Amino acid sequence: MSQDNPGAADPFAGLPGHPMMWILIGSELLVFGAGLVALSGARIFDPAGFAAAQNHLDRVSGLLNVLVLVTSGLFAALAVEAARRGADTMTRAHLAVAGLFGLVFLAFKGIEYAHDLAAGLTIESGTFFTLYYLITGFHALHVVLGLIILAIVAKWPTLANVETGAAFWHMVDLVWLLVFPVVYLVR
Amino acid sequence: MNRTTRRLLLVWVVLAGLTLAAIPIGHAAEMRPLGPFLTIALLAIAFVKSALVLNDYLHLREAPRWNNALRAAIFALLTLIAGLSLMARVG
Repeated sequence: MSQDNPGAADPFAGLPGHPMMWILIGSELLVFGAGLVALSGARIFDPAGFAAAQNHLDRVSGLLNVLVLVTSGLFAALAVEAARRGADTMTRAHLAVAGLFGLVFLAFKGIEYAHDLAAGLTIESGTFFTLYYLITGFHALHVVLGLIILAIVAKWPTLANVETGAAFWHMVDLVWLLVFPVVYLVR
Repeated sequence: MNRTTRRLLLVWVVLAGLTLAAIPIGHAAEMRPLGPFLTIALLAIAFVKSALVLNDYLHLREAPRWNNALRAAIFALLTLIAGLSLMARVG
């Protein structure tokens, strides 16, 4: 306990939000990293098949969703700045805008999935599409969870809560920055 | 508008610009495969964008050890992915 040993350094010093969130963020980055490595490794065994499958993806939708999440991340960061000033109304407004962009992301992703499925491209349409649906579907679930977290911290916008919620949301943003080039573009 | 807000807006502009740069670099409108140089360029852009998110959106410039550790982890991940992607081209 730190009271027993006041000289001990806090390993989480300087990290915004609750330390448990950072343990979660670290573990989630490992999971998504493993998924992207698996996809890149599987490509070695069937580069032509992967390239053909990848050409069915809607790259414009994937790219728009990068812009959407990056913009959402901006408003989450602005919410933290507002919370640091103690401006609750502004904090809530920024969190609401961040959440709205999160919904736009899910809408684009839903439309993209609908087009894929209508074209007969399911999770069983080869290794590429199995990994594509697993990685992007798991990410979409994180967006949904992030929206719930943003709603909760908007209800109780203490600085610690807002920093913790924003940290999770930025992790979701960061993961898509890695998923987009690896899944949609590298071929 | 305070300095922090201006900085966040500037970071957003850079992130959006780098994202749009992926259209010509990644031949997003074409079917042909990417060469090794463009593959590495795309992953380098992803690294720069990730570093900006860590440094400014996540405020990790206030926790330099964690900032460096996470940047190193993402660099290692993208380097591994670049290596595997180049192996797929050779294989």
